[in-house]
Amino acid sequence: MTAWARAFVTSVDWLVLAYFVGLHGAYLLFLLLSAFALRDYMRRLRYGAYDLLFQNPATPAVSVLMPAYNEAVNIAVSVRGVLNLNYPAFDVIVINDGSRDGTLAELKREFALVRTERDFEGRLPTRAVRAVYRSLSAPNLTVIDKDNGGKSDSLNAGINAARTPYVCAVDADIVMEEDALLRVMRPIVEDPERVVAVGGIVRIANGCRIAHGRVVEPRLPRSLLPMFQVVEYLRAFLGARTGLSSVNGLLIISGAFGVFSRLRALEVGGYRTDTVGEDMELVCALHARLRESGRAYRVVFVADPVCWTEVPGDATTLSRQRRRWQRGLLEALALHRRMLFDGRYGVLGWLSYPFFFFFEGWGPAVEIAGYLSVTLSLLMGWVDASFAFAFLTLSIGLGVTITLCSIVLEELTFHRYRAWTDLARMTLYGLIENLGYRQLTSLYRCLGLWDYLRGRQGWGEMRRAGLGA
Amino acid sequence: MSAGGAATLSWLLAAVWLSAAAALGLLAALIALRAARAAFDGWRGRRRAAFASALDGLITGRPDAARGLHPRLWGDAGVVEEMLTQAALPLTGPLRADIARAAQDLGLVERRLRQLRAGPAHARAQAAERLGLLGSSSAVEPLKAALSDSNAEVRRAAVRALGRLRDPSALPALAALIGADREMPGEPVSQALLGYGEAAAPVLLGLARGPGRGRALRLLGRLRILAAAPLIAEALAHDPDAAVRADAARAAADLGHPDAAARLRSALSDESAAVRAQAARALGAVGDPESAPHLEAALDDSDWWTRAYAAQALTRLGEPGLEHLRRVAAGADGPPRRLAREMLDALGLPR
Repeated sequence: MTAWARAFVTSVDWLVLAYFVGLHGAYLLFLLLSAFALRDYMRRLRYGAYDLLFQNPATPAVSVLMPAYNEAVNIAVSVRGVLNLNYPAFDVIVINDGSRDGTLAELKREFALVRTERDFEGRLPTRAVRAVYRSLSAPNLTVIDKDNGGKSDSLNAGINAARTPYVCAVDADIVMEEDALLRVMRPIVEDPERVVAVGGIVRIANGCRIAHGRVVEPRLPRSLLPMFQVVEYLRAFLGARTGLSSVNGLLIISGAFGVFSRLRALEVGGYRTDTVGEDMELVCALHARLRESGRAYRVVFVADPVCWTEVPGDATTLSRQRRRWQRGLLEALALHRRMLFDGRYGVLGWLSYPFFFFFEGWGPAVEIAGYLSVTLSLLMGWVDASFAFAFLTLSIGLGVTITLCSIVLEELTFHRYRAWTDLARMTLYGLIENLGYRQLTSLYRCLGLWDYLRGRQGWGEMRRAGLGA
Repeated sequence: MSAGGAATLSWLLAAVWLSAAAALGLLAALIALRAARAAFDGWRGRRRAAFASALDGLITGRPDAARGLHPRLWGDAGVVEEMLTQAALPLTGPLRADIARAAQDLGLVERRLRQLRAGPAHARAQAAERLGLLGSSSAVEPLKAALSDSNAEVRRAAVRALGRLRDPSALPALAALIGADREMPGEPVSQALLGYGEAAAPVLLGLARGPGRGRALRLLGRLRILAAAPLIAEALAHDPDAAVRADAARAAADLGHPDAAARLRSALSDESAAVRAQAARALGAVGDPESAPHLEAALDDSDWWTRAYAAQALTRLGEPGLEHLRRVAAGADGPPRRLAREMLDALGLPR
């Protein structure tokens, strides 16, 4: 029995070692791709001519879709921020998804809403629309009040109502950069035939100074958990997504901010309502449809900070968020499992999907199993202590290296956190996140994996301090 | 520990040392980067302050002020160029010409021309963009040559630059790109030609029967070239390509010429929904009250855009159009009634 147990645990140890080598190898590859992509992007910024883009008669119109569920705290700030965007032709459609906290009343009060009749062109099925309002104070604002059906259902109602060739899905709790739409629409203006979706970098608003719906002074959060997430977001967006996008292998465009061709979104049936990973699912569905039909297309990630969002400041909310993300990821991956190692999907089938499946999807389980098996191996004397220590140090060292690489990319490019103390804090948190935070999020993600396996539904509540706070 | 285990351990330890060295190297790079950036920003700020008064003189109409820049220009070309281009952007006329002359005198134009001729693709694109902003006419010929650059970004930047320079000699070269360069979507060529205003009309009229005729007609409409009205009407009625007919309808909308009304009314029954929609929109712009019954009928079109544009057009016809809208709003339920009611509500008018 002991021999069998020893063989099993040792196998797990080796599996974990292989997992860490693979994970960090993949991250280093993405970083390399990102570095080249960012170099090109920064060069292009120098001859971007955004002033001409603003005046260009061909700059296409966009409908900004903002689903809101119990967002009374932030909704006015967010909508005002979106209404003041620097873009030649856009309208804003807020979809109140049956909120119970006075979101609609707040909107009515802030934007002088009056009821209107509006013919929806799109035919995506959604929960019943109770009423449509237009604003007397902001002519390009429409508010749809509908029965609660979730974020996807709300976005589908927004797609139905939109009359523009592109829709931009945004979260109600974000603060957008003034030029966000100009920046993300540029790839579309320059290549409207092929670019079907564009995402941008989401930054963390906790701790920033916000006035009139804009981040006027980017600052790092003061508390522990949001600070870890700053480093984590830098790594995910600058280090991974930019690189994946450069080979047209991007599988996720953040639900907080993403632009999609409305026609293409309608073609794949809009957002699926039976998953909490609706943002990733839509991108996967677009990839699948366009690859299967042999059309030339691109899903682009703009390496520019486009919006700021409030992240969980307490462990309970963080746990809920990560469990939901993990479940959504696995649901989206399961719906498109045919991509795995299928040559028809090119880089998606051989790089992106396997990475998300093995490392992001099931990785947390391997990681937690690894912590347990290495501890057990040490206690039982099945593994040499120096070996275990070297392995632990290496995994931390590689994690730190990858994080530092992402911070270097940030320094070389957008350089949003200007103070020396900011740099010191980012570096410090990059070092210590491997000593607790990483394990904590792995645990949450494992719970999300468990939720997925037992078929749990729903979103869970998100507690907010409010962007104006 | 077995021999294999020892070997693995030594590999692991080597990797540990390597990752530790990489982390330390990155840390040092971060500190060096931050320090270099702080030093560079400080230097740039000081240089900007040093040049500010000379540039203020230029912008306020004292071209001789540029002379003050000369002795201190060494190593600061980038700073001066950036300040000059920022200053030039909102300016027109003699002040802009002064800035262009100063850029020429200071050697900034020559520096960018060298890059445009021999730099890598990103530098050529940047050079083209900057030459457009600096506004020197000596850049026109090299920029025209850059329209056939092997790199699409450079060609696009050259188009934008020639659009900013507005030199008439570049017009034929720009117009030749209409409908020809498939790697240049987003209409930078149209935008550049629009910048020329009426001066672009002869070239565009010459293109109005060729392969890029749809776009040429739209530009003529946007520039409000009345001489294009017969060409627009002819294309609307007889062009075999539905996209060109739709372009002609859009051009008619921009032109707003009443002679086109009859042709536009006929286009409301075109087989292409895009043409019908654009014709409805154009009838609103033309403002001919006789079109009201036709637009009312279009409120029941199978295409949503045609219905929406027809409703919008009726509101633009004044009282005759509103009368038709009210009648529909009081009629049987269906998309036309809902649309008519929404239009009247949006205008704050009684149904």
